[in-house]
Formats: sequence, C-alpha cells, structure tokens
Amino acid sequence: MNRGPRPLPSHLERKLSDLGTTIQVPPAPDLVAAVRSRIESQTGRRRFPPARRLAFVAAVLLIAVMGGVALFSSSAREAVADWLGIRGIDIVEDGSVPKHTGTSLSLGRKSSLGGAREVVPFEIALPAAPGLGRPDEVYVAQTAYGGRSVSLVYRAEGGLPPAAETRVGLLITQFEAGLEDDLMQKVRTAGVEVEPVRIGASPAYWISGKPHFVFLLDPGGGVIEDRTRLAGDTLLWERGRVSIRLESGLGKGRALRIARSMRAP
Amino acid sequence: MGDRPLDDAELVKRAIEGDLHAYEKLVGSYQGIAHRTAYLLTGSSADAEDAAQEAFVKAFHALPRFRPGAPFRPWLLKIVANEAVSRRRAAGRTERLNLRLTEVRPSGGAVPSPEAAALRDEGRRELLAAVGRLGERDRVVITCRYWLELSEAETAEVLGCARGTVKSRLSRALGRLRAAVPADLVDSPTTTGGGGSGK
Repeated sequence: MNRGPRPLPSHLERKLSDLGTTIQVPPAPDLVAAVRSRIESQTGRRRFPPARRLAFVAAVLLIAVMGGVALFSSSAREAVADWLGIRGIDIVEDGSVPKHTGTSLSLGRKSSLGGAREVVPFEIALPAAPGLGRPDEVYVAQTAYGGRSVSLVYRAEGGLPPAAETRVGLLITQFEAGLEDDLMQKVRTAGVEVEPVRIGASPAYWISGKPHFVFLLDPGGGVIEDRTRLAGDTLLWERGRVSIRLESGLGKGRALRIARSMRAP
Repeated sequence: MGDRPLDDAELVKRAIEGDLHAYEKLVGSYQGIAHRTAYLLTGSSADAEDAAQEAFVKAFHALPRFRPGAPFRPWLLKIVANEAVSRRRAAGRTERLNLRLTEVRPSGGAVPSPEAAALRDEGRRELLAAVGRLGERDRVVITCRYWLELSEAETAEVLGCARGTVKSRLSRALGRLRAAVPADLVDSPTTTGGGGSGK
C-alpha cells in the first residue's frame, strides 16, 4: 500500500534506548536445576520422550465438538487451559451454539496472493491438483502475537461442492504453529473422529464426524483463537514449520489428493 | 560472546537426542535474557521467573520443531514473550505495567548538576509510565527493539511476523507514544550528543 512508515523520531528512539539501560530488573534467578527437574519428571512419565522424536510437538490443535457451549461462554483461554489440564473435558450440551457461525468465516483481511506473500513469514503452498489453480479469494489474519495465517478460498463451483459449514468449495488455511500428538487423542474422546493419515512423510489427521470448533496453541503455548466458527471435515497436517488445514465437502480421498498436490512456488 | 565449547546448533541437536546436559548449557546461556524479557513484559519478578522457567520447559519439548541452523535466541524469546504475556493476561492484569528506574549513577566523568539529574530522571519516569500505558502489542515491539536491543530480524521472529511488519508496528507504537508524552521528550531540545546510533 503506502511506501512504508514515515522516518522515525530518532530523539524519542534514543530516549527509549537510554531508558532500557535504566529500568530496574531484579537479578535473574538460576533456572537450570528447576528446568532440568521439570523436564525429567515430565519425560519420565508421559510427555514427548525425545527418543521417540515426535514430529508433532510444539503446538496444539484443540477442537471442541459442536454443542460445547461451556467452552465459549467463558473465555476461550480458560477453556483451553481446562482442556489441557488434568481436569476432565467439560462439554455441556445445551444446543445454543449458533447454527450459522460458518457463514461469516472471519478469515481476516481480504488480500491477494501477492499481498499475502509479502506479509507472511513462510512460503504459501498452493494445490496443483487439476482444476485448482489460484484461489478465488485470499485472506490474511493475525494470530496471537502478530503472527499471520493465510486462508485460500475456492468457490463452490464445477467439481467443488459447498462444504457443510463453510459453504465454500475449499478452504485452505496455513499458519506457523504445529500440532500436538497428545492433544489429538483428546480430540477423539470429544466425539470427533480423528483418523491418522500421511501426506508424504508427514503425519496428518483426517477429522470428521460432528462439526467442531478449532483452536490452536502456538509454540509457546499461547492460545491462537483460530476461528470461533464451526468446521466440518478437515484434513490437517504440517509442511515444514507450517501447519495446513484443508476444509471441504470433498471427502477424505479427494482432500488427500489435493493436499498431496500442494507445492510452494 | 565468550568462547563456547559447543555452539548452539550442536547443543540443540544433542538436546533433541535427549541430552539434558546439553540443554542445561543452553538454559545457562540464555536464562539472563529470558528473565529480562519476561520481567520487562510482566513487571513482576514472580511472574518473570515462572514465565522464564515455563518457557525453557516448553522450548525443550518444542525443540524437534526448531529449524536447524536458525538462531536459538529469538526462537526462545518468542516462547518466553508468549509465556510472559499469557501469564499477565491469565492473571487478569490489565492495569498499566509497573516498571521502575534504577538509581542511575554516572560512572566517572561529568556528574550532572542535581537539577539536571532530577529533570532527566523525571523525563525517564514519564516516558516509562507512558510505555507502560501502551497496549500490549505496542509494548512488546518497543521492548524487543529498544530494551532487549534485538535486531529487526530477531524481533520479527519473536513477534512471529514479517520484517516489514516489525517496521510498521514499531512506527505505529512510536506514534502512539509520541501522542502520550510531553513534546520535549519527543523533540530534541538540543542535538543530543553523538551517542550510539540505535540500530
């Protein structure tokens, strides 16, 4: 858009740098022993034994089944914390989930492929499957911390039926965050079917069954409220540092074919 | 800058293979900056310690996703910053951040007159308070660039955004800060001597 910001007020910048040297910071505690003992106690019991080299570690996909109103009536953060915690999954069926959260997809700011490439810090992959060239629409959204996700929308036409929840033919969202194996187990117990599949060398998940809400945790464990909307059948996998979710009404076979065709230019 | 027997990449590699001793070395090297980051973002020493510790534990588990050859520091600080901000939010702390100044004692050389020193400290306090009143997004980018002295590329990694976005976010944050402080903090009254060029 514009040619970058105005020249910065250097006096203010100098004052800020100067301030940095005079802010009182308490002496740093020695964390080495505490960190070690926590890691030992965790790896000893359950989480990610390094030997097993779990591919999906850093971040988390969290899904609540439709009807999981309790998850959203309080803050999403608390809900996710609960979900991740030792406490049981608390899902209350009271039927008051809005029926059409899928209609406004709130995918972020409308952009173009070129525009999106400028602002996301990763290579955007596109499907090379027949009939799927450039997307009809591209959106860029902010994730927690100013990270970006990019969503490619393909309209429902030709061979693409509208997906039940999104009403578009194909929705592909890419973002820098990973998926955690552990949590996928919990998703299963929430009534959503999660089938492990493979896309090339990377593990992937085919999520089907009840419509679900989607949340993500970033590598630091902060919650990325991906969309407070319902998602239908979704294929989810990692491509390098980027996670990709593909939502469509195409069924598993075709979704997998599209996913396997995806290339970054 | 000291000679490290093993570089970060090697330590990371060993840590992924389960060598906790290697990871301890990384913790030892970066706990200072991790704690400083967490403190500047939370303003609480208890939160800072917890956040830094938690971040090191999470980072360990996230190591298999660490891009080999990438710099470890900004990758770690991203996790620390995230942890610090989440902690503050989870505790429902929305009041302005409460950072304080140290008693500055000029090391040798010209000692400013008491009046000049008082004036200077007053300016610093005002500026610090104004930064504390900024929104979290603004504070994080200012903290990275000026208080942690991270490069633009490192800041981009910490914020998880493109480098161009760092520039624009910083510029917006400075704009809001300028609007919030007295003019003499914004405009140079005299040309402030040829100190370090910030970049």
